[in-house]
Amino acid sequence: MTDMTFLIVPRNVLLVLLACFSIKSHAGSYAYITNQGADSVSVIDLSTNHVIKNIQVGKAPVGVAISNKLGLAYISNVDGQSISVIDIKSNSVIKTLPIHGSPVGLAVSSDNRTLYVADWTDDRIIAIDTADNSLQQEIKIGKAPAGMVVSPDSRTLYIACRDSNDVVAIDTRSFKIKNRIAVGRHPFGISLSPDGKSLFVVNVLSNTVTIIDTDTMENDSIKVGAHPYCISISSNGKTAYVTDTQDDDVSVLDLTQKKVIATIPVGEVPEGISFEAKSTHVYVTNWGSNSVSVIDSGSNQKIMEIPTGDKSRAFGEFISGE
Amino acid sequence: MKRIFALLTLALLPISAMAHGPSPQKVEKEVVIKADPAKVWDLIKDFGNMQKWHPAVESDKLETKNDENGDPATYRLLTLKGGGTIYEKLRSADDKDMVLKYEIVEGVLPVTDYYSKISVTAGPGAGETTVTWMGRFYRVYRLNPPIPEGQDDESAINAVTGVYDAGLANLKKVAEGQ
Repeated sequence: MTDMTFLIVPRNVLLVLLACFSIKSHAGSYAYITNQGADSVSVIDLSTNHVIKNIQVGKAPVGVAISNKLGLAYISNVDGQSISVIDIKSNSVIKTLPIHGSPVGLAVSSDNRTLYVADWTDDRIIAIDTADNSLQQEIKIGKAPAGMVVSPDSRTLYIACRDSNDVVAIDTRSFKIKNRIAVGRHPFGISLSPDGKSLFVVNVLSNTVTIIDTDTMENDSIKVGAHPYCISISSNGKTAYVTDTQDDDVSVLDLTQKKVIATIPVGEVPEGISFEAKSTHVYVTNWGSNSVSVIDSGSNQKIMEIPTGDKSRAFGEFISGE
Repeated sequence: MKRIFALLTLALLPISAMAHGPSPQKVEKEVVIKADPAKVWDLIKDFGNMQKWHPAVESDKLETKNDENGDPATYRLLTLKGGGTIYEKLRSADDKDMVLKYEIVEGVLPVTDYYSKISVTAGPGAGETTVTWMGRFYRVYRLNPPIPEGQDDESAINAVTGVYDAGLANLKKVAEGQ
């Protein structure tokens, strides 16, 4: 019976079905793009670079954090004062967590046990247990906490404090401050090298990136473009990509030479940025042109622009499946 | 015109660009002018003479000094016809692409962290020029709701919209020689 049914399926339908199975089987990567003005998240299938779904979330979504192990994407709705929890298999919101403050930056620990939320207005970091979404603890650390990243061993959480011009390292077990490092003016985006040994902080008003040795805390800075926001590091740890919001481009930093080796024009007011390991493409979210630019890191050229939603931001690690 | 003066006089205290709320707002306005793009660009890029085309500006005083990063920069002090001032920093004036970028350091508009870009392009028709004025900024109130009147997103958007609408309408008149 099954064989009979199979035989009468038209050939073109069969090909489509096969194509669907082949995409599924290599466990694809997807980008979760927050659209501040549309109160939505655009899901981009990175194998086709098409938006496959727009998911309604809370008011003015900005931050993204993804746990592949838990199969969840967390979205901070800053004006909605909540976090939307998206099941990345069904791409639907399964829970909304109220946050009494202004959630912006989000990060999930490398062991997937903790979701960290940076509260922009109340100057605190909230730790949420991902198993039951209960509040674990919170700490006041500096003014206007923004970007966050967790070390590969989950033992340290780094936070860029925009209005106190420093980066704070928190011991995740004691939930106490380990280090406070002065950086440039208004640090916002933050990232770690794949080995966790170098920390990168983007200083919006200084137009620089500070590179911090996470063992010695020694640091150095590199000049980038105008009003930079976010940074992403290539999977081999050799190159960094920085969004220059007021130059409408991306600065490409050679981390051996410690200098900008290329600038790539993208859409208007680029904010979030993420290097995707499989394709070696760099995805850039354009707040000003409601789109995502795709950069080929081999040629350092923009190869595509994908329309998303109004005022796209995608602050944080917004790509799943890595 | 009356609306824009009313909006400008609403804000009594100068507002600094230090701390801001979490969600940036955007206003984007466009006008098509029957004039040569070079002629329109000459008006836009003349950072020290905004009174030549913006009807709310009484006078414009240019200043050059080092900015907070120690780099040489150009500033202007706009004195408005309705009272009050706006102090602005020129970010760039690109003759090749005909794009002017500037920011507000402080002033009477109910906004913070205001950044703007004015783009001049040829077309859509022959002998026509399109001017696009985009602003990205935050409301004044940076804390959680309730938000005081006049310091919310809507007040910020309305004020900037008023400035752009009045400015572009008069820019068209001036450039078309009416």
